[in-house]
Amino acid sequence: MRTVLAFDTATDVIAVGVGRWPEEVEGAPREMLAELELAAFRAANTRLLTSMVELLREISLDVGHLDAVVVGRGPGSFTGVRIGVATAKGLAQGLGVPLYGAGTLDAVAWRFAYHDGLVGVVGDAMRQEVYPALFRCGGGSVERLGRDVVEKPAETAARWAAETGEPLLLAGNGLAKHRDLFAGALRGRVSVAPPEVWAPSGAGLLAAALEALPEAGPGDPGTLLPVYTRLADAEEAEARRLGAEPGRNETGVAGPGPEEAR
Amino acid sequence: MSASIRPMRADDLPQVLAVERASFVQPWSEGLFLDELAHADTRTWLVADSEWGIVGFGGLMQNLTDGHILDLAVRPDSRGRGVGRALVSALIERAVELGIHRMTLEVRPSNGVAQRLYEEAGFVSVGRRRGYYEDSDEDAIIMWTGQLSSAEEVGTRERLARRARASLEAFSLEDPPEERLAEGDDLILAVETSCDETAAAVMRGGRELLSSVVASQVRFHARFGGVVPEIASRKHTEAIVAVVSEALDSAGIDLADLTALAVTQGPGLVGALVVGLAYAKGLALATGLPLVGVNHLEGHIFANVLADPDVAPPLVALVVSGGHTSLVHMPSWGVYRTLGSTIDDAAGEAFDKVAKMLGLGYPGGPVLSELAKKGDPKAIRFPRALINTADYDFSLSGLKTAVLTYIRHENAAGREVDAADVAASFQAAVIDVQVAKAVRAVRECGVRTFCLAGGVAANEALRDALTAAFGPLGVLVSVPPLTFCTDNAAMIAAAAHYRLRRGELIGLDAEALPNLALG
Repeated sequence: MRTVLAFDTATDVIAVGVGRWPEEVEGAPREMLAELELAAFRAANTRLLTSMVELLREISLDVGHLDAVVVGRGPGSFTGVRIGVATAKGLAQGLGVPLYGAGTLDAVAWRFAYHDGLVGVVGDAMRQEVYPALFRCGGGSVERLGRDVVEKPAETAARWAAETGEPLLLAGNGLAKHRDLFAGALRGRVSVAPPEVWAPSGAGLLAAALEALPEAGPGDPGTLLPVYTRLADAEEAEARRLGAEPGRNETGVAGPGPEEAR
Repeated sequence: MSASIRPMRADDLPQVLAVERASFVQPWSEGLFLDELAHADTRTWLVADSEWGIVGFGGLMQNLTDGHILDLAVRPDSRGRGVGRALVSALIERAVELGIHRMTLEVRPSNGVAQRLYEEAGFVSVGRRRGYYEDSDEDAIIMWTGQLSSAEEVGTRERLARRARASLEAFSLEDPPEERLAEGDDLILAVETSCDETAAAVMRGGRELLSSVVASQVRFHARFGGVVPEIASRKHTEAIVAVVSEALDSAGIDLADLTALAVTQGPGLVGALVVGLAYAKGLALATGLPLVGVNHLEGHIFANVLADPDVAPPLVALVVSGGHTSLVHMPSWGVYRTLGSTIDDAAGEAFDKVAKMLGLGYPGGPVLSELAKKGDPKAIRFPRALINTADYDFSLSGLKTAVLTYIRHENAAGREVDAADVAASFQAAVIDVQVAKAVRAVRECGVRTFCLAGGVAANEALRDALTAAFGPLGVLVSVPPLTFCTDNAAMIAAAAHYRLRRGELIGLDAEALPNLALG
């Protein structure tokens, strides 16, 4: 068994989990050792590592026992995601262990792995936008339907109303602002999970990363990147000025200028 | 190649006293140590011995069921290698054997390294003893452990013992110790991400630069006419691991060889600082290395120290870059007093903005300086803001507006603007104020050394004007080579060396400080 530490700081909740992964992925059990969720509005950089050390200490482990690190890649607060990812890069590089990513919304969805049906996770993207993602859950597994995007909540609600014809369970911190809008658009077939389970959990991160492990590559801490879904504002404005659709490059990696690209 | 802990003997005293004297301002005398050794009933003294001689020692006094750590010191050339940890671990193990229930000690508030070690060993700060250290009039922090028999303390003790064993087994001083004492032999890896350069460097003893890697993002920002903070933060996140790996590789250094890590904590762009700091803290937790937080402006001043061994405090430094314009008085190592700084635009920023007005592209500051060589600095009389005020502050936004107004006025009148004259006249206005304030600062602080630092230190006209002004006054003017003027991590490592020696460390809860002041 491999001892794995996972954390996510993309939302206002710091989620940390320590668990064990089987050496072989297929059908093998996994085990959680400890979990922590901490409301830390804009305090991820000051509280992430201290709470992580505390959690490890409670189960008589220290970072030297870790065989891998998992980090939530977002989407979420840009700075929040980067605090998690940069911390994870330093930790994994320093320990000489692989670093794997998990989607922040996927980690939320894994809370509902035993809920049979569709789960819509709505992350808060600020500026009256959301990060929406749909998942097919049930029987202890979670399947993602579609990639990460950023959208106006009304567009997401209308799209989900048109694309799905079955009951939908909603979660995610975007519901704090847009809950009524989704309830209205998906009238009669939507239920909303309690706010306590809107943020990613340590167990969800470990489950999501384990699921993605077969395609994850060697876990090089240097190449793992956040998922932003948006370009930097300056680049979006530039793309609009040039009359092009802003690039929806998922990792939001700034490219060379348009002149250079030609 | 290892060290071991054993009881102290009387014939160890010459070496023990040498360590004691190298460690404390008011060292214990030989008589005191002899007296301690004579009271073996209540005293336990241990030394860390190695093929390089005694590299540290510590002592414990038993008072019924309380144990008091009296003294603990590690030879300067052996610090940062776990010797202190091994001694504390051994003293606690011995205390348990003696039936001691709880342990206590006093530590200086300024000694961060020691506090961190004691916290790792299970000691918790419970209060202060006022004015305990007479030499520096410092309070003592009083620390206590919990009940040594409690499950928590047992766990802490076992982890400490495990690490201590590893440190002792791995202990080695490759070179003869005498050679290492002078400059210090600490190996520091520094990371800098305060603006738009992702940088890492490895430095030995604060002077010997083993590697310096700078990944510039300038081409990602150029087409926006300035640094875009969000792009800077993203690029740091992408580059940081590779930049650090390259710095380690080209230095031929492994993480396990390092003494400490350092990172720029501020000032700078908050989102950019956050990436470097979060990364460095993760690396510090993984490696167990102490982490030093460095002020970016302090780093720029240390670029001069790095380039010229004669540069030492007391000195006055003018830090001028794209993000900063500050006059700093440094009376002694590690002590700073910011005399004044810009109340609006930084000098480099003003150069870039005026260059943009003249259609010189981005970053246009260096192009503008080149163009100014062909112009007449007296052609246009631009304002010299704050040149006669009694303070050391600068203001450049009025000058920038004056240039814009001039260009518009000339265009409206149908006259062609002589870009070289505008560049030369603008530059002269900036330089006049900086030189006037720098000269006054050097006079008022009574120093003989002046350092120019930061990216704008590359400006030849500014260098020449300062040299011309200070030459007749017999003041040494230090200007770092170009590669150390712009942002880099070598200067951060150099500054960190001094902070490390003073035990100034930051914790895992450290925060990025975008407005961090110097002094």
